Amino acid sequence: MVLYSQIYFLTMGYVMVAAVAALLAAGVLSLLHKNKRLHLIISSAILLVILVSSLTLSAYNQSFIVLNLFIVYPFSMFFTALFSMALLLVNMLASEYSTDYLSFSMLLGFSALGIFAIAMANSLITILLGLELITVPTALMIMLSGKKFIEAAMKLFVLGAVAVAAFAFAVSLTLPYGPQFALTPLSSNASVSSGYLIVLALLLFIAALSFDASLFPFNLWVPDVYTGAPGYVTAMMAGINKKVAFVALFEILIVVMYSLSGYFSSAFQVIAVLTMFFGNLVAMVQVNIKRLFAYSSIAQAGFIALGIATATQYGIEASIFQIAAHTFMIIGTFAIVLWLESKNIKTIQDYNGLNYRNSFAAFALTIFMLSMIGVPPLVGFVGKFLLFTSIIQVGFILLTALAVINSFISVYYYAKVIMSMYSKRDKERMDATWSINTTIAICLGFVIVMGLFPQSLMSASALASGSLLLIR
Amino acid sequence: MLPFIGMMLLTLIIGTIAAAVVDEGRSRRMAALFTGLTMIIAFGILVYSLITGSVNVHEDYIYYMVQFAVDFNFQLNIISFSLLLMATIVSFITALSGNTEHEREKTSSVLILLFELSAVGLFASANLIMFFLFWDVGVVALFFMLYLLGSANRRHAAMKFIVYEILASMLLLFAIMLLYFYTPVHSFDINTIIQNSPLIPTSTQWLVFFLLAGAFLINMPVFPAHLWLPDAHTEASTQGSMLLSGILTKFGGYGMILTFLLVPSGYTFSGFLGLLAGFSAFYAAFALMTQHDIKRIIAYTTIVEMSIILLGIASQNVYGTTGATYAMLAHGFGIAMLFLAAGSIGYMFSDRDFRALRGIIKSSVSTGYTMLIGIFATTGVPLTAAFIGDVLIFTGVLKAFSVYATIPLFSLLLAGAYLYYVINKSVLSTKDVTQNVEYIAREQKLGYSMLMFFIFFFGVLPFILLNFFSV
Amino acid sequence: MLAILVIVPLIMAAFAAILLRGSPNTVKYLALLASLVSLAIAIYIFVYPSGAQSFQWFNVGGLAFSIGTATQPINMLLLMLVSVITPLVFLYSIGFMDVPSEQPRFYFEMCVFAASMMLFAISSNLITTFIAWEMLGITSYMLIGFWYRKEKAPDAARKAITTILIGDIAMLIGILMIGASSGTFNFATIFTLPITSYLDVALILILIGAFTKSAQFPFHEWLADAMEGPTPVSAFLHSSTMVKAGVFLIAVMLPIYNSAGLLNIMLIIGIVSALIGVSNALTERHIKKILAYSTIEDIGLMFIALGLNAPYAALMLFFVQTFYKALLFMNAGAIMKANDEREDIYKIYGSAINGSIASTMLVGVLSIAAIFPLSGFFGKVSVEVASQNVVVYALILLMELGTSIYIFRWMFVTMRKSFDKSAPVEINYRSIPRSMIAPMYILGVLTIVASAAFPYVLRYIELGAGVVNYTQITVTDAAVSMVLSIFGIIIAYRVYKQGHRLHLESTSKALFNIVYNSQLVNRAYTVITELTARVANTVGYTDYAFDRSTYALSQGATSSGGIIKGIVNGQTNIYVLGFVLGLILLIFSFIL
Repeated sequence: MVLYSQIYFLTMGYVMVAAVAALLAAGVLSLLHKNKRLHLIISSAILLVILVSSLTLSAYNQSFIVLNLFIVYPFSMFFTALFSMALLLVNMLASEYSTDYLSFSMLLGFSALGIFAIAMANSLITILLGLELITVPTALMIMLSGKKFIEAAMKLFVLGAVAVAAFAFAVSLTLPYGPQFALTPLSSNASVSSGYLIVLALLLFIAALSFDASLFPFNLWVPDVYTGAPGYVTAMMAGINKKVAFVALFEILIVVMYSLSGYFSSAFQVIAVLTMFFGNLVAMVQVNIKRLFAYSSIAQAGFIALGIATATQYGIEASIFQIAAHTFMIIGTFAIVLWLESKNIKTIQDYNGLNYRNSFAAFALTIFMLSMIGVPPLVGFVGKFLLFTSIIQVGFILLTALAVINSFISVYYYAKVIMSMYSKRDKERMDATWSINTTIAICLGFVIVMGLFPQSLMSASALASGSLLLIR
Repeated sequence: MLPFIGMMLLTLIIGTIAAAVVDEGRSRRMAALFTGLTMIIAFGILVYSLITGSVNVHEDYIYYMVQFAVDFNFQLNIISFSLLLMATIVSFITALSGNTEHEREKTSSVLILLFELSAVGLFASANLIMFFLFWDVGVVALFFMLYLLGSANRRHAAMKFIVYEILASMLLLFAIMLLYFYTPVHSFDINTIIQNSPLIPTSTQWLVFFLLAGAFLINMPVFPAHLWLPDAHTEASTQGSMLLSGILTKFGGYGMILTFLLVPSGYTFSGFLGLLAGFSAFYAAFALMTQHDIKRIIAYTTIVEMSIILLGIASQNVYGTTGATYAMLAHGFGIAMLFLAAGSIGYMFSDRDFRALRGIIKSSVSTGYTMLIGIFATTGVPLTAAFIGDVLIFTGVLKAFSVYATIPLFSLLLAGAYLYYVINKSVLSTKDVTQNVEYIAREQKLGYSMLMFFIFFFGVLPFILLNFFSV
Repeated sequence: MLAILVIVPLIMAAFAAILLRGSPNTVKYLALLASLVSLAIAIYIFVYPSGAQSFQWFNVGGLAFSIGTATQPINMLLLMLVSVITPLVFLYSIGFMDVPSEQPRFYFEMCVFAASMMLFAISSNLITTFIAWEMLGITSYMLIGFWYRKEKAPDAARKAITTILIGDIAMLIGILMIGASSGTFNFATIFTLPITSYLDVALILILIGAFTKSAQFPFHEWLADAMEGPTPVSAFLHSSTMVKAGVFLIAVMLPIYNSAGLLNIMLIIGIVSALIGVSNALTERHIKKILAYSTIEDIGLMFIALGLNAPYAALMLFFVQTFYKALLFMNAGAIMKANDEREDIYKIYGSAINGSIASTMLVGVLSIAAIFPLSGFFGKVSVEVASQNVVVYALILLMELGTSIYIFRWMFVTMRKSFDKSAPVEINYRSIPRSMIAPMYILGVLTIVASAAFPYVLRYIELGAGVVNYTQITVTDAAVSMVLSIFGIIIAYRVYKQGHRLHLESTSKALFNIVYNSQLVNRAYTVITELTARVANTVGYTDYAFDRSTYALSQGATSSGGIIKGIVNGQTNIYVLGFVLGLILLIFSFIL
């Protein structure tokens, strides 16, 4: 029996890794058969396979290593499951709204490879590879969507290159301290007394990954690129790419650099507070909805960073929970934004009377925003609650107070959007397309159900964070 | 013993869904039906308690957060039960008769049910997470009530409301989390915290006390955090105002009573709090005297009343606490009645400036008398429930503080004097042009008479509830 | 038998008045019937006193709030007065209130009013007293403002309720102070409390309450304005109810006031009020206001007697004043009704036309002027005798002279014949309904016999040691009083026989202002109101400014967002710079 389950476990692991490869292959193949619908079905099926297998695998609290580059254990499986779900949604949105879906799907294949690589990374090289695989295809996705998107793509490309370069430099700096780029704790001689190089490495890691995780002040590109990119790519960047950077941060900081936790903890306290204030204060004056949500997602990233600042298992659990929660909130939100943008509805003013155009979309957006504020019983509340308790647990009362203040500031702009949606009654109806509706419904279901019964997600993230800290 | 709280919550959830599903014309009936059922269950608890001799309800439902041992736990004691009973009655009357102009009935019905759900859950919550959860649900429901059904300037008022209330809820959340970690046994359970809270270091208790007091003072509201209330009331629909003043402000009052139990060291500041309450009562009473909009005037009386209730809570003895609870119960009925009447005045005359109104009693006898009795009920005339509350509060104040602490009672004089002035100008006065009697719906008259009944019921027979307090 | 049963018929009638508002005729007879039943019960209780009874209303923290009744002689005195006057007033109202549509409301309020006063009369503790007290206040507010169509009625009602509210709140604090410190509200226990400064404060607060209710200086003006109410209300309010409540309460609590040494306050306030009453009654022209000021004087005299620790004298006047004041108001009501509701005595004519009115009026007037052997004589002379102090004695005599002048001025002026032959005054007088005339006769008889009955009523009273619990009226006292009264009548006859006016206002403005000082008091009220309004405006403005300042705060937050927004200017080099600065920031955070 034990043997059987062991075989099953290994099989599923290989199936999953194979499925990731298959996704890439399917992307490339789609350029040949040029059938959008077929590709959508194939890629969705593959993503479903990844989802199911990773969900199955995450039930096993054990690990095995694939090709020395990947590792299958609850932490990685949690994120493969999460990202495969998110990719399913983004893929669906893109299939309908992308002008060049086939090239998008090819790029998505590459991107997905990077995403899953980081989620399952067992070595710093894998992460570096993953970062490259994410940044470049994403920039290309934006660029291929049309001429007006080129500026955003170039910004992402140029700045992404800076970040990746910094990351690569940092990776090389770890060489004297660790066992050959593996994701294992630094050897015991790695401490500040042994040299500032490791500190420099830590610093560069934080900077490079903060760039992708949109943490201040490395995130100045975010509003421009999020606004300038087509909606489905924005959804992907905010919902997936950013979260992947957090995953990499967990892997590097908590696993590799844990002996330096004193350093990165204080750094992340500063970063988190700055990011929250930056995101929230600027969001208050935004008129363009997409830009507003770009800033909102920056602020949310600040909240997630609070978990890293604690450097405890519980803090990481809270961050993981909030990542999962925010992924769905923001993808749902950007799905609505994407749909309305295609109807040339962009500013808060334009959102007036959305409730009377499409009450489902308005309701969903309201729920997403309430969840982002942290209103119970929605999933965002549980996430924030876990984050706040995690920082109180380690005694950062002032930090908690600042986070609470930020939570409060955010009410202002979210409420503004809500109010605008529910004003002006005389509007003709507007129906959303199937992909939008499906995406919204899935995200809405997640936000409400996980808010009312958060225990399963909490256990899963606790397991994930526990397993992450176990392998060090 | 029946699972009363579960039944109430289930009724309300089903009701919310039912009101959302049925068509516009039937939703109000749905709301009335389900709020009525909830009220009947609440009376069931009363009957059950009278039989067994004490209010003692404990119910646990499905797990919410296992890690923190937080379920959907509910319990009732006499303080929370009094407020719960009031909330169910006021909700029922709001649903039944608050919206006789048939404005967006579906929206209002759903929101009333949702808000009642939050009120029932909040008063019955046995742990602080549930308390916070239902608090926020209530705030959001009323935000929509205010924004979707309010009058012209509602946007501004709703924004103010949500900002103040979310500030309160964030302070509350912060305090809850601090309590969890600083209580030696790490718990969100209210009873557990109360048992263990003396072990929390005093300075931490003070911090928690300030946070909780901040949250609840905003909600009550008491100076200097009262600014949201007049605007919210002026712009809210009749139903919104009834729920806002009648029930939402009691969240804060109930919370304030809890605060002193949760952090006993807060007792150090009770004198300061009493001073603030006294000042607030006078401040609001004077500010009241410069108002002309009837709804705004009533809104300021809420601040006066809630300040006096805070004074009772701050006195921290059995009289003060009992009195504050009873005064909150009374205020719920009284203010709901005033707003119901003010709402129909606004509807009948399309104007709520009392200087422009004349002879309301001629146009609508029932509305006129309701206003009058509402004012009696507000100023604490004997045989109305507010009298019991006031008497007990000031007994408590006298026991706890000095004679000077009774001076805030004179704020009721200022408020009362101005209210009588308003009444004499607008209600009991000559009408230049004899206008036909405006149609007042039967439900509305029923609402008037039910509220009047309860005001006098709890005023004449206070022992029904007060006997439980000594248990 | 439960003493509290006495109020039940009236309460039932009040509810019946609401339920049967469709048929006013039923309501008025029902109310009359109820008052008669109450009278019967009161008589029963009077004959078979039930003693103290109480039941606990509620109990919090060991402090019991009870509804308690007592049947001490002093309680019986007031209960009998109220229950005798009530049916008379109701009977009078049957004729007087001739608009059917307002009758249900009127009888509802009157029934509650009477019931409150009865409850007050038999209450044995401060909580019951306060309930009755405040119910009196509220119903009087409703009754004074009963004709809200009238120009001044709502304002008068508001003045009354505002003044009464001051007293109510002061009194509530006083009551609660006693209750909170001693744990009891019972009169019997309160008398045994040790005197402390704390208790003094409580007693003074209760005294303030009594002054507002009994319309004593400086709270007396509402009573004059209260004349806007229907006349039966005035007759009721001035005789047995409302204004008597304050005196009665202090009389009940007199032992403790005596031991606390607070009697001088009553004496001084009583003298001031009585003088104000007399001087205003001399100058006032409103037919009912003259009587109102007369009431203020009477109550003032009662407080003087209480202040002299002579409760017997106070209660003597208390008792007899009920009848003659009720009688005079009924007369005034009838006269006004015959004169098309005119109020100025110089525009009222022919009160002698109707023999019934004229004869009863004469009884009342002579009584108030303290002419032997009418009841007023005994009442007033008792107070005179009680005053050991020469100054007080002289002042009382002066008041007596004034009293007889103003009351005969009142009578003589209204008795003039109308010059306008076409005016239907005569017919009006003849058509005064019998239901209004009958109570006048009854009261006339009562006024004559009251003084004789009084010793019997009060024979059980034990008012404690050291008080003058009997009056010895010597021939000298009687003679001095009589001479003064008759002198006053002569003056009034000489001056006012022909409806003559003293143009005091034009001759000496200052003197007029001093004598007719009600307007000064009113001006003082206005000043206080305006000061309050000014404070209110300041606070209101502060509130507004405070509100705006919170906007400034939010504006600040928003504009800071606007400034930070400037960083994100779309320039890639700035973003790279941000990256580098972030690295530097991180280095600093590591170093620190």
